[in-house]
Amino acid sequence: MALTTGFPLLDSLISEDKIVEFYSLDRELLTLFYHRVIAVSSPVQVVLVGERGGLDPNMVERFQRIYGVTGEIRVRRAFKVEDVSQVLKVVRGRL
Amino acid sequence: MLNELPTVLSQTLFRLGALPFRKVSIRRGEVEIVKDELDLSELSIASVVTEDWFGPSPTGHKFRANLNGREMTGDLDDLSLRADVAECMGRACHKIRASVKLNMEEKRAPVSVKGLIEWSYVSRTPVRELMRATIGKALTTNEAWVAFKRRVIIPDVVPRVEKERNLEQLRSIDKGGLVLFPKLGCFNDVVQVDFSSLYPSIIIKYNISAETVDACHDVVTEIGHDLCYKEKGIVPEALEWLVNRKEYLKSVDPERAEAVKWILVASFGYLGYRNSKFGKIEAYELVTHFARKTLRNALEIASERGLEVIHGIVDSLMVKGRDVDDFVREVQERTGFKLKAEPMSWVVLTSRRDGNPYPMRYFGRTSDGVKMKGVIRDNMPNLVKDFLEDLRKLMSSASDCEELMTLRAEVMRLLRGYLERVVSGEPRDYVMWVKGIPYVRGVRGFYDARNGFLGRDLEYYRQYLSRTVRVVYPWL
Repeated sequence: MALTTGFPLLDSLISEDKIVEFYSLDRELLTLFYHRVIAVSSPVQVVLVGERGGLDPNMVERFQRIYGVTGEIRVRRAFKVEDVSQVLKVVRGRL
Repeated sequence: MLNELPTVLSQTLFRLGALPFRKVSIRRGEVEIVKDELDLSELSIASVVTEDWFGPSPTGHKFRANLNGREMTGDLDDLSLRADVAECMGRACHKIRASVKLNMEEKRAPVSVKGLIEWSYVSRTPVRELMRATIGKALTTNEAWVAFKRRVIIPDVVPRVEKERNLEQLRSIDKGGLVLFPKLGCFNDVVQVDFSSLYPSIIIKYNISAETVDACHDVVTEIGHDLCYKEKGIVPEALEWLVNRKEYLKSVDPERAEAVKWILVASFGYLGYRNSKFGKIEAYELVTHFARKTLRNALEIASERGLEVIHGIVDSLMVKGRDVDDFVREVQERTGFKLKAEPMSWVVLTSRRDGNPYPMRYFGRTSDGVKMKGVIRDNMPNLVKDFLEDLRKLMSSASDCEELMTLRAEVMRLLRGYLERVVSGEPRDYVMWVKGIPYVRGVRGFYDARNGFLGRDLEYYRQYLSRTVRVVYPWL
């Protein structure tokens, strides 16, 4: 399944890509953006990479309500770069 | 294979039997520990700070020294001091003679030189290595010694895989300690009841360590992580010794007890730190889970006994009512954690500017005078700090809330004196330290005081004082 951001223009631009990096100097905008992406992409399995986690379940649910989606969201957090490959191995094994 | 923690030097010293701050004898090349207890009575310990007009500065021409508790001040040119262990700053380091000299500019540890010696003793690591270390290193080294004893290999990086959860599980688990919204106002005859070293005690009691979480199911918890009691965890074993050490030092040397307390304070946060060698996020979540549960138990017991709970923060409650001693005893029996009770003849709980309660700020009179929390901040201008210290002394004369409120005229007088000092103060009065840099607020904004005194914004300091007094003394 292709990544869904909920923005039709962005979705058409990234529809062919498997890995997409979103970058912003505006931390707040980036936070809003990835919470929205998680919500509109649900049901989805998320690996969140961040020193302090950084997922607000309430914000994700707010976006789910706004966009009328109810799919389950399952999360694993990787707090340091060395965790990422290990977490991905486990996630891939379950898919 | 050799673990890099404890450091290779510490392991070598251990094998030689020449650990830091132990009395040893050397006979025919063999080192033998004569006394394993840290005895500072035979040591001279000094701290020498150079000062400029704005405060501590490596380029200052004045000095302030403390040699085994004896304070000295003067011109740097007149400084002549000898000690066994000394921490020093700037040019003062060239003026003193010491077997172990520690440059404060390189120091990262948030403890005094005596505290560093204690860290060196408990961590069995040379003081020079610890000086540049964070609290985390002191803690991890203590844990690493337990691993060393058990011949456990410690990898440089320990990758962790967190369990998968849904949003509801994450919301109910990913939380800190329990904080109540305080009742606002002044309250007479309150007792503050604190759990002693609650987080480390939880780690010890429930055997919480990376390797014990989900290793078996001796304790099944509501948050989906279980605990194994088959073998004592590395973290609990290291902390148990530190908790006992802190309790012992409390009556022997409070300064060193404070240094050990710092390690214990960091121990919980470090469990969840991404680079922690002996922790993992599930262990961290278990500690906060048990802490919330413990405080909720205490709240239930208070309610059963008809006590009024004024406030509660993570490991502390303020209660009002009869037979608090019995309450303390029951909480200790039912939770298994030690408590200490501190009576307060009055306590004031204040609000934010928007009127909502501010849980982290309170002040009240205890047998040792007025205790203030969240009131005096490091980044306040010196004259505001001095004002608050004088206000603290003034308020300590009030024996109850009613008397406190009658101090209005004295508080106004004190405030007027400080408002005059805003105009006529010394340059140092206007200095405020932010992230280690001294600033003064001038008419064109803040400037770095190290470039010299270039005037002050009177209105800024007046407003600062007026704003502060309204927070601490809302009855003006």
